[in-house]
Amino acid sequence: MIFGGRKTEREKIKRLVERSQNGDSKAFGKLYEQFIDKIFRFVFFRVGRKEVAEDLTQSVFLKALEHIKSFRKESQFSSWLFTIARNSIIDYYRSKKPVYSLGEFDELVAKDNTQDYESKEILAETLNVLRRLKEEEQEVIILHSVEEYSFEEIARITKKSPGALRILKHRALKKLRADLEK
Amino acid sequence: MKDETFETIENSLRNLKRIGPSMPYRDGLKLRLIEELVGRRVLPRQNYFGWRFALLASLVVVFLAGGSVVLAQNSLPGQPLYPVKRGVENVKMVFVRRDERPKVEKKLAETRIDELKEAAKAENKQAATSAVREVEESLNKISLQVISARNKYRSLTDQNSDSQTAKKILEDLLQILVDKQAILAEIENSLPEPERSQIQIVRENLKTLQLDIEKDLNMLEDGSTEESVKGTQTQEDTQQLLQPSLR
Repeated sequence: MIFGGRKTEREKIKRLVERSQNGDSKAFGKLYEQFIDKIFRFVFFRVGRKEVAEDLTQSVFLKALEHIKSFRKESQFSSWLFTIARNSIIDYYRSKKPVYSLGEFDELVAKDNTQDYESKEILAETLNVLRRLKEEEQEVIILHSVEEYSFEEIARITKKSPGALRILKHRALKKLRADLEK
Repeated sequence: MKDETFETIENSLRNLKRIGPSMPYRDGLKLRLIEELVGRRVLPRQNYFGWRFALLASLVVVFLAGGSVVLAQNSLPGQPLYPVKRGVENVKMVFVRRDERPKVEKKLAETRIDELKEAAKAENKQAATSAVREVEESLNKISLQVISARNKYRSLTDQNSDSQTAKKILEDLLQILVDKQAILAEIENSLPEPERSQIQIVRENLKTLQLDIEKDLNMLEDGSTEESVKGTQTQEDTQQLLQPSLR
């Protein structure tokens, strides 16, 4: 059932990409709605600043829009989009270091207005622990545990084998456990 | 065997999904992307067969519906006869000349706002929810007109061509944006949540467009004609104007 659902979802995205390649702005709008949260989170968790995450997310979608016609149909759109995001982060990382503060979450946790300070603090703590991991470990944790992509899908984005990603994730979880137990 | 501690950690990690960008940022970026698309004149490929079939089907429905059409005119979004009312509008729109469409779209946006007013007055929550969606959709069409008019105006001024007609169109659109914001602000307080917040976001987006137009028109009055600089400035200005809604 889950696999069927994923396949249908993939087909839907494929059709939206085809329509976008023909210049259908509504279709691109739907793709945007589908991926904006995921891309924003992926970028924000890696760079650690809301303003930077907003700028980079914007540039990811502008690049996607610019190059959508050259996107090859046999690839997966999500992998392609995350690869653009990943490259943008790498460029940013060359000169900057991520910084988190709880204040950022007061503005960011906008999806659920009922959240209290305590739950925001838990989110901030989880993120602070996450950022102590190596970059490649953070990536696999964000994409697999948070965004729930399969190892095969992440392999296409990171250019690592699914087996290597499984080991990387296990190692990252062990580190997270050790950190949280302190 | 699965490690229980790992499960707990994975659950905390899944919680991070609750973090997301703010709504004004989402809407602002979407608008910016649409602007980019329109700016590049990438137009959707028309499916003429499908279009003609839809027209024929709509005509058949309209004729069959006969008396329902008259009754449908006073219906509100979400009510059973409302699709008939919209169907009639869509058929009429097919016969409207391309250059007349902006005027008709403006009129339809007014109708959508009137419907929202009615729904709010009648305290009809279901109708209000659907009416807000209809208002958003109709104003999106006006937004696209604005984006297209701005691009035309910019390109004419860049080429030092006669831009007076384009300027007049922008001024008219500016007035429409100001009027619509005022009307929506009046209705806003009579709406329940989350419709009230949605209308606030619509107003913010209209305000952004208004500022964009004002900036364009002032640029000309300032006499800035350095083309390369002008092109870059316009892009950056759009960025800057979107920023306040992101904070």
